[in-house]
Amino acid sequence: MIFLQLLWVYLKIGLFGFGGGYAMLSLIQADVVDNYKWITLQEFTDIVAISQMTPGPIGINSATYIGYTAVHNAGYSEWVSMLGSCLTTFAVCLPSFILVLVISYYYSKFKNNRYVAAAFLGLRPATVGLIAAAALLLMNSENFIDYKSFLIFGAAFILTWKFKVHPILMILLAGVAGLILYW
Amino acid sequence: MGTILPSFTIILAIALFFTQFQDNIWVEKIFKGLRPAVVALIAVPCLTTARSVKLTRKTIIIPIVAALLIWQLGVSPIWIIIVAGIGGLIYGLK
Repeated sequence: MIFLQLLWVYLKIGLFGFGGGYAMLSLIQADVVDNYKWITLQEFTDIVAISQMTPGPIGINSATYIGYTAVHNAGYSEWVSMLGSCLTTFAVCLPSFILVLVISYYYSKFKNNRYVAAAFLGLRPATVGLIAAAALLLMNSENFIDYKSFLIFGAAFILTWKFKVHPILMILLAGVAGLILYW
Repeated sequence: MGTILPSFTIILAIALFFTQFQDNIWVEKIFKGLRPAVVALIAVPCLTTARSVKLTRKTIIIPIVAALLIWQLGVSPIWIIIVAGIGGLIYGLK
């Protein structure tokens, strides 16, 4: 049932989410939206937006939110849905918690371990691909409804890339832009 | 536990109440503006990470192939990670 599935999915995400929250997003989307269809793509994008705004790592925040929404969409009450979010948040943290514990224990050995260094030679560029996939997967007609969407995208991109505007500020500006442009 | 608890509570509160706001016309407009910006906010770290990894003309194939596999063919990113790790091992240890 959904709780076991959520646990399994989020243990996987917690374990394979190399590269941080953004790289995790394509992993999350593959399972949560496409595979299990617990939430819609639009809900997913909104959750990403909110998870970015709120304090804390985006990986954790989105786990909490999706845990709640997935269970709630399945028809359970608010209280049971909250248990869902506890479950996913716990599951997503557990692998890295254990991993970091193990690694910090063997730190001096691993630092110069040829195997680890070699593996990361391959993992690092792949992470770029993972993040790119997350962005590409979100470029659809639900998120880009008209030319205004592209304007906002372009402006947000340039402001964040060239002018290093803080993401939270960016989101606030984008929200205001939405109010104005879609008046 | 301490790091997670504040964001956990905030998100939960938002999740609990957001469903009521979802149909509000103002919220609707705000999110229409938010959504493309969110995509941009993902695209930018993609490029910054690409820069820091110092991709060359040869190595850039890796992210391109990875992204295409995930985006177009629906390959699970987990496979990409496993293959990339193994590939790195083979390449780095030869």
